Amino acid sequence: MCFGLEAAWLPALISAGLSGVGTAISANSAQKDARNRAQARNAQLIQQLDEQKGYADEARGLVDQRLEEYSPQSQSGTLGEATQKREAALTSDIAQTAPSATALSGSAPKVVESAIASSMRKALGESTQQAQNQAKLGSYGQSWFDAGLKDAQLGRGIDTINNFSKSSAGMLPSLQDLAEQEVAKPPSVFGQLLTGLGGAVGSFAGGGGFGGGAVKADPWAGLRGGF
Amino acid sequence: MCFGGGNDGSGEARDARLRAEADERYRKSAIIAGQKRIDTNFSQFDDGYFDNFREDYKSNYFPQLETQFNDANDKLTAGLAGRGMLESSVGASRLGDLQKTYNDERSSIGGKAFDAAQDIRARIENQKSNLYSYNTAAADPQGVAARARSEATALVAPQAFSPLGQVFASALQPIAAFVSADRNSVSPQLGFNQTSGGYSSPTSSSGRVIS
Repeated sequence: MCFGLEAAWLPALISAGLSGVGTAISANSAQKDARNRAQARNAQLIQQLDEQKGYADEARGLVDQRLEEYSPQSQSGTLGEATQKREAALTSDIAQTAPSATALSGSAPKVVESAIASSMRKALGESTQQAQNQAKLGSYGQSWFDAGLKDAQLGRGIDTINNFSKSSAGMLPSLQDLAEQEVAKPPSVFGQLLTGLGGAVGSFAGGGGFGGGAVKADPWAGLRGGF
Repeated sequence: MCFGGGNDGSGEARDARLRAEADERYRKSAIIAGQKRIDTNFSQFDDGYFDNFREDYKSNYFPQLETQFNDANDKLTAGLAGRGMLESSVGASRLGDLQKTYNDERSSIGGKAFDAAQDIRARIENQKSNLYSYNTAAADPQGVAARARSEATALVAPQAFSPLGQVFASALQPIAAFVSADRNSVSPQLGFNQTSGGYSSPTSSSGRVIS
């Protein structure tokens, strides 16, 4: 019959097959799990990178906008506005005193009144010019003071963006770990079962199975031939 | 594959991740809300506020200057009249010089008003930056709003402004020197020096002409 020799290697073949399939299933399951974990971590990383890029673009936008205000045209306009504002305020403070305010006698010649009026006009003109010069000189400091205020506002905006950026970046490792835990799965039980079953079949076949198998060794064979 | 092992911690991990992300979003929105409250409370310190401050500054010093000018004008007029120079080109020139000194001081006070307003504005900006820092650290918009109101109120505490110095002393110095020299001369020319009780010390600005 054909079941003598074939029956000897069939269990071994079955055992190897089961173990092989089980191992393949387990390996495939582990690879799939590792891939899912990596994808989950990478998804968090990509999301964080996009968020950081958004922060960087926002901060860069603020800086670029402020830098534009330092252009020659913008600075010239700023200085001009500061000068105009100061000049208008300082020249309006100059009082115009009428010549009649001077205590002259009733018999004072007209030429005296004219001389006083001329002197007052000269004084007014000189004071006005002095005020304009003072306004022009002071406008430099005024424009740079105003620039400092705008820089302070820029600094506050940048600090806020940096705060958001750092806190988000600091959360990345934890979020990656949590995302990985969401998708993590232990190795496939089916694969382990097949592997274990294959091992059991192999052990069963090697141990003689149901009556067939290897001849049991006689421990007294060496003494049976007599002395 | 079937018979794959389950993950009992998956739901917990997802809940933790979603909670962390939600808390971070809340923290950021709280910071932004706090900043808006700060900006709202500090919006009262606009250009109009500082224009009013400059006007108040000038209102404090212009009356002092006016008093000094009127006093100096009276003394100059009396001194010139006493020397017979009031109705002359020299007198007109001196009166013009006094007027110029008066006007220059008015514009100078106006310039100092700008500087004082800048000083106030800088202090306000520093307070605002401090509140931004507190807001970022606390992420508590209600608490920050309360502090913003208190700091905005504290900013308007009155400053100490020193009184106006003597503006016309140099303009009157030649007249005062003449009066002093005349008083000490053997035969004074000025009428009030010919009687007892004339001017007080030339360095004093409280003397009055008695005719």
